[in-house]
Amino acid sequence: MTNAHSYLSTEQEAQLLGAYTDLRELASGCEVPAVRAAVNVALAELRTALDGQAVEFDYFTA
Amino acid sequence: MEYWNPKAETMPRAELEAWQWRKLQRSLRHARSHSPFWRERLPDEITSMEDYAARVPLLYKSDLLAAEQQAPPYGTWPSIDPVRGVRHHQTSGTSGNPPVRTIDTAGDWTWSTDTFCTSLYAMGVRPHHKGMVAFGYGLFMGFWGMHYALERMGCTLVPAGGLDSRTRIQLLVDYGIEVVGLTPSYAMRLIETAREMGIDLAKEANVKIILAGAEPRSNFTTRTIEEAFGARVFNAAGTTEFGGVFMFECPSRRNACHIIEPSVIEEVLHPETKQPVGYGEEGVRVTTGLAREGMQLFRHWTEDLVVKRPWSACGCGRTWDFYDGGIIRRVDDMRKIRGVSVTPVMVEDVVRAFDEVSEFKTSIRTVRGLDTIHIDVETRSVPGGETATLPGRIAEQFKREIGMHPEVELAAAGSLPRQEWKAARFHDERPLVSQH
Repeated sequence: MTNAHSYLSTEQEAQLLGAYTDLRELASGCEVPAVRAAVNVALAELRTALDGQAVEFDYFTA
Repeated sequence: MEYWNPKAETMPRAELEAWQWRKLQRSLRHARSHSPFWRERLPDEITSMEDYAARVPLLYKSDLLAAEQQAPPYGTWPSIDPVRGVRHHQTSGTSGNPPVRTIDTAGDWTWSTDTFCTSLYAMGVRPHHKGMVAFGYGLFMGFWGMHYALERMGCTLVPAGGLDSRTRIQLLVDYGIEVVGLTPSYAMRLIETAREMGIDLAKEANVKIILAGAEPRSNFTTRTIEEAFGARVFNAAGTTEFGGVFMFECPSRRNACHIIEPSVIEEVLHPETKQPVGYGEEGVRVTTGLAREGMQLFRHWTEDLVVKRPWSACGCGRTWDFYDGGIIRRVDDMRKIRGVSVTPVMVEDVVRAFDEVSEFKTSIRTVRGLDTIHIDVETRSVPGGETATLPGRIAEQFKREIGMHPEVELAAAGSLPRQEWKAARFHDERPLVSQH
């Protein structure tokens, strides 16, 4: 058994990238400490997930 | 075969290399823009991988330490404002050198954890497993990533960082833990402790997968650990300077340690000429990181000797090249003793082959003007074992395999140091002028 061809569909890839973009925007404008912390952690996780699927974007944030 | 990231692990080689090049360009841009250290070192307008290897200078540990000294603790090296860091780690700073200190963002730490997930998933770890890291993790980065990776994968983690060997063994047995992370030296220590407790790990524990990382080991040591635990031992390695795991042993081919190439470019250079060597030739691994944002690494001369082979020589389907046997040894581990080159793993291979040996220590001394290898051995009782003749038998075997005669002496039980972290390989007691 193999999962060698378990790639994300184009739609799933767009959803993942969209989630990342939305959260990044939220992180930059949100002033609630608890929400901002949660969003930053989620962004880090999404960045890794996107890179693992070879979705290319400039993830260096500074 | 199943993969943690199927696409990244199996993509055609040409696509992978093109992807690496694009990642490298982004990393270089980030470094030039944000790190004073890299701004000084990196030439402009690098046009290709070949151009990169030709024009970017090799980075030595002394360069990092010098940068650190300019503005401690992190110096001019970071490509981020350290205030963004969520984790501080540092090397052990042995040999009287100051430690290399690193700071990681949340994104860097998540990536680092993912390199462990990639490795553990390949080894067969799945969410239903229970895992333990038998290592006192703290300032040193080693094994923190495995702790987080087990959680991230959905495994049940039994934290054992601050526990002694007996308690760890009892937990292994009581909870039926299937996955264990430790150093090979410490695995040998656990085997010895389990024997003292009257526990047969292979029968009474349920360990299936052992990640024995962080130091070179002999094949004999690997076999001994596998037999004692009744488990498969896998190799893996990472460094504080790189910030994650860069290679892991494949279940499809013994000793094939795949390089996690979406995260790293690994050149292999001749130790003296510093020119590239081909597949199958021994050389020093030179690392370029592609994922870490805070502490970037370009052409880091690691001192690790490796032999790279093409991905196609392993049948697992990954398109990642691999190091045959992982890190074979460190450049600075080799000692010339009366014209014979000796490494710690060579000594270990001979000494561990004697079942009566429970622990040993190797010293290099000058005796009456001659460099000599001295081996202290602690013994344990085994059926048919003859302790009195053991030193002579070890010395004979050593002479046969390595070509020189060592002094071998019996040591009192419990007198030799046991290590949880990287074992002290050679105790070089010669005057400094005659070392190496």
